[in-house]
Amino acid sequence: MAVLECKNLYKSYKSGKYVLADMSFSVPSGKIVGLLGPNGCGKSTLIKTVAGLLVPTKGEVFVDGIPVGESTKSLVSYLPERTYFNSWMHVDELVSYFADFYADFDKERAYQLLFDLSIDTKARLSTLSKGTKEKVQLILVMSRRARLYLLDEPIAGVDPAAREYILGTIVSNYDPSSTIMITTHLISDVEQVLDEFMFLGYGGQIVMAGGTDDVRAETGKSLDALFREVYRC
Amino acid sequence: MKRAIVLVLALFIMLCTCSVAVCATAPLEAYTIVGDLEKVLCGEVTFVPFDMGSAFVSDWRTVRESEVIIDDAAMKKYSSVMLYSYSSIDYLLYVVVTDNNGNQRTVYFIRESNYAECAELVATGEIRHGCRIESIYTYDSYFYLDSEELSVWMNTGGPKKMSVSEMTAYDSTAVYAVDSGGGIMTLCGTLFMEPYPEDRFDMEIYLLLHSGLGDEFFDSYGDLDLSYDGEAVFYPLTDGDTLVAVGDFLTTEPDYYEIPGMEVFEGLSRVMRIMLNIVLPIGGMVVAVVIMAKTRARMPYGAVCTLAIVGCALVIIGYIATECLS
Amino acid sequence: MLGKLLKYDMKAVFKYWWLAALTTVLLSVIAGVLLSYVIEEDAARGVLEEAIAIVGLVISFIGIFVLPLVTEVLIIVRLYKHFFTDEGYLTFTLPVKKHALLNSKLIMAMAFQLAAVVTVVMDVIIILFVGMLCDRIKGIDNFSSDYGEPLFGELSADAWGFGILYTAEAILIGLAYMFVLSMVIFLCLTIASVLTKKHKVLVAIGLFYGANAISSLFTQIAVYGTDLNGVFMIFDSVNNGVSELALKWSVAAQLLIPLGALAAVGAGMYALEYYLLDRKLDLQ
Repeated sequence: MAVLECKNLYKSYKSGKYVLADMSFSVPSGKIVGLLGPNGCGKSTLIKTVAGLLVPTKGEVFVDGIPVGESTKSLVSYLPERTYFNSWMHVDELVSYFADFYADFDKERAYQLLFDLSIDTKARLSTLSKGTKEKVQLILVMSRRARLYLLDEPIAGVDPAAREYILGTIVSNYDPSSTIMITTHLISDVEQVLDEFMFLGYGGQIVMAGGTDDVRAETGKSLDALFREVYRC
Repeated sequence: MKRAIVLVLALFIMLCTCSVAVCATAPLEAYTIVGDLEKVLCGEVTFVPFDMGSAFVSDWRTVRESEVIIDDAAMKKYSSVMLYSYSSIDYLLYVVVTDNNGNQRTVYFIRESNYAECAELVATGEIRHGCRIESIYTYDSYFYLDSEELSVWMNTGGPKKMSVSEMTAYDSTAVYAVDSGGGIMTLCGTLFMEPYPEDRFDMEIYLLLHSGLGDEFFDSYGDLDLSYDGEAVFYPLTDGDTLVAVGDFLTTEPDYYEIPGMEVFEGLSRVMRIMLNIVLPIGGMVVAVVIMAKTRARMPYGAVCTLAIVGCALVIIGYIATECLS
Repeated sequence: MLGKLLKYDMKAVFKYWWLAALTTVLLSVIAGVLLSYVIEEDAARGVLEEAIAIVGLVISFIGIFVLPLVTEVLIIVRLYKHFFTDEGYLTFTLPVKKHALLNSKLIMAMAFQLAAVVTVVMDVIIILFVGMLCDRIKGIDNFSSDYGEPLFGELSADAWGFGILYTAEAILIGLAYMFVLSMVIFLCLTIASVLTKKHKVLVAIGLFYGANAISSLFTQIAVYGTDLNGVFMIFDSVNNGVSELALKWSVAAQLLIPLGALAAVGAGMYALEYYLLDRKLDLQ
């Protein structure tokens, strides 16, 4: 069964213009999928709709065959592109918070990853640097044994060494039966971990999709080069 | 949908039951007239004929027609027998009979246990249980003084002998003796107050009791003759607390005093009350049921709509109960 | 899940609220001392001393009675940050029902509003108690006879005999009022967040003032236009010959009206709030 399925999905905001228009696709389990596209093409909107933060204007979205709602939130682990934790909380309080609400949260793994990065669990979030905050967020998200991980721009705004760490953490900590969807426009950094990709165009149209190895074999080009070609200004 | 309908039906039944139960506490009892207006029976209570004399019923507005059973003798003698009781005075009622010649008369009846006290009140006009001072602005508003307060008034400050005609410059108002139930009032005195007082809580107030005064003090209509020179005993009000209270009452104009078109306002007010307390809540209940139906009573709409329906029902019950009880 | 949400909500507000509450308790002690000083007759003291004492007293009273306002601000901040800022990404991706999120905020709001009222009442009692204590130390008894006994005398009198029923109704009305007040605040913030991306707080404040104006107008029409005779007749019952028992029941019945109205209005607001959160709120 596909872990994620969209059927005729439409989403518009107050302006009335459709950000996502008639999207239909499915994503199998056990894959790392890149959701790629230029700024404003609807990547975050799609991710947020799957995460249950936005209500589709039309159409349906299913996670593991279940319509998006309260039940799917326990199957989906979402990392937004911004810091979304309460800044007065301490790191260990955040770990407890996740453990309280998510049955699939692995507390030991979280503490291990925090230890590996020498992050003081007693520290208040507001005292940490931006990069460290993002690492804490990533650790908490990846410490869940979710069916679907949605990572929205996980490596934007961080230095190259941190990007490498983040991608390494993603690959080494996810359950092979789960699926990860990563949105980014830093394709060259991400493409080596991707199994599949989707290029989104403006209006939420899927311009191109497929297996990354297959497309590299077919075109002889990297995903990054292909992206530049498809989205040439 | 079914749950919503069942809930609303249950609430309506509950509403109707409560309303009926509440309104039934002010029952339209059946009265039985015995013989030719000899007495009236209502359950265990016996009402005997009562001569009101110059006394009158204090709350004459709360009169309502009641069911009456008459025997053959009365049925033959009278073409119409109507019995009226008072919602607020349960020991008094009156019967209006029309004989076969079209002549009408009214006979008051009083509960047997109240007869002696009220008959004495009507006959003597003396204050035994308390008195009411009429507002100088309206005939419907009174200040009540019990016999103890009156006794303090009369025994402090010392009575003064003055001529009635000396009081013509003063404003005056009637004082009525009342029975212990507060239902019957009879004129027993006149109160005089200084006009345009500087301090309304410390003004000159005198009480003149009519009992003991000769006929020469009264005009042909039975009212006190303010031009009469004869001396009478006046009781000045010197007790501080009572002076403040009476002064305040006598100098406060009611809000609705002589406002033109008052009846229209009162009518509108009634319509507004019904709109706010009956129509609007019913509308609210309908909206709640519709929302419940549309959302199939899933959480939280089911619980919230139920709360809204209960709230609207409380408003309706509260309003109906208030109207029936007051 | 509701319990867990409530735990974090209560913790978040209590972090700051306890300090405000403790401050009012300290202010009430100061106010008690100053009040005893100010009402002492024939005491030889200078104008400056008296002025300072009175100013101190006024500031203390303001500080005490501003606690409910501080409580509302803390509740608003918690709701706003948790729902309508970046923290909303965490809130609305928790595997909990949306009405559980709303209920948690509502229960938290009502609990702290009630706590604020109880604290203020306690502060007033502390003021009286400290005042009486100061009197005892000075060997005088102005305070209790001027303030303490009349107040406690009033509180202990049961003039009507329907005290328990009226008290129960009054408590329910108080709770219903808190429910409606909380929902008004929540709705204003939610509508502002649905309507605008920027200046949400300003728009919410505008909506709140608008709601206040409408409810004042409605209350004026309801109270003055409908001529609540029964409530005032209770004080004049014998004069108009209406049976006292019927009037007492009448007052009890009349109290059902605001209770029912508040419950119905609150329920309607809750339904609207839930609908907006569930269907219309787009976090961007």
